[in-house]
Amino acid sequence: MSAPPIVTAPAPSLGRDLVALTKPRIISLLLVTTAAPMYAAGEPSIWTVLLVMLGGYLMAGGANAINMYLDRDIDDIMARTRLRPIPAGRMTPQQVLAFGVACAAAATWILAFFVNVLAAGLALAGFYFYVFIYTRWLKRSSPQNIVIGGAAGAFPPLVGWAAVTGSLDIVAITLFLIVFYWTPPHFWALALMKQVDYGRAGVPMAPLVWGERETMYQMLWYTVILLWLTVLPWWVGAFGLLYLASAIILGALLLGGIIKMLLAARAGRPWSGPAWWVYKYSLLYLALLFVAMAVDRTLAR
Amino acid sequence: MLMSVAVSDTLFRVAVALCAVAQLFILKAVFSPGPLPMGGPAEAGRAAGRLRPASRPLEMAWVVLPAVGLVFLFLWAWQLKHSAELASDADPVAVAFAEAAR
Repeated sequence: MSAPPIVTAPAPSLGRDLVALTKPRIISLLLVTTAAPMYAAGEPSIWTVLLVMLGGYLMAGGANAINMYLDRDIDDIMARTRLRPIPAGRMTPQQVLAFGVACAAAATWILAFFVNVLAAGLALAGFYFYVFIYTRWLKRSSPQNIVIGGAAGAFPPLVGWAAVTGSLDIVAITLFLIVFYWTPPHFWALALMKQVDYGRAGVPMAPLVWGERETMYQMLWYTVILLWLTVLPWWVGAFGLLYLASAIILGALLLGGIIKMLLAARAGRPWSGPAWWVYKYSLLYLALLFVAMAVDRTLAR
Repeated sequence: MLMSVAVSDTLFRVAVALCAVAQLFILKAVFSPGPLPMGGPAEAGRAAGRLRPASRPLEMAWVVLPAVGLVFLFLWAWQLKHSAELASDADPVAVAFAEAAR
């Protein structure tokens, strides 16, 4: 009888840990919400887009690394964060803090020197918002943590817009609010499924404070507002029919998913399947919505 | 898509009314929260947790702030749309003067 094949996890390395500190999977969506507004706002050179992507990645990556430094006490408690570099003992907290600060400093320099000061200032504001308002202040003290903290994730469209136009207008502010109102339904879908983890870590996510049913209703209310915010750029004449159709179809699917979850909960049926669907689909929703903006404007030129 | 001013304005008013209702329910969750349901993963989470009570006035401020932002955005959009319509209806010479004066 032959010996069973030995399956090993990838060996930890400093390079892999540094990339993990930046939370690349989360940043990929931030980069979509940065790049798409650039093409919606104008016709940027590929050089400008690449520099903004690099600066945006480093700024968000720096914020994520400092988040891991500040949350090192609870990362060891939650199952889904236990293998991060600090709780796993592969990096010291000081190393992680230094890496985060270095990333943010490099990002500020790249954006200010090669793009413009407004884009750099907005990216830095998003960094400070995430580190101090969300992670340091609200995350462990309020069920509004991801609502207000969601503003940090809403800065990338402003950065992209400012990088191309050098200013902000009503469309840029609407894009900010689209991401802001998208954040609660997205993160509360995850929070509904990870309640015990969050409770153990002392993070007062909405389901723990308001209960599951109220959280689902709140997801519905935020989505209703989100849907009109996504139509508003068309209403003011900034985007065309392609974008409008995309916003309506994508938004109807999101709303349908949330209603399905809510109806399942009300009927006493299992709702974790629909909640998981809402969590995964909301990621795709935001990416496709922003791509639709860029395509709509590019085709219209 | 070409749409008459009346239809466009009606669409805006209906959408803003729906947003206002949704925002009221959002405010209600903080201003007059209902009793917490017992049992299920939420209670298990609370039992396992060490949740700190949040400051109530601050909670209220956090939930009012985005609502104020929405009001400003909707007013801005309305004013922008109608100023554009006024400009398109106006005398072209007057519009040119207005553009030059900006």
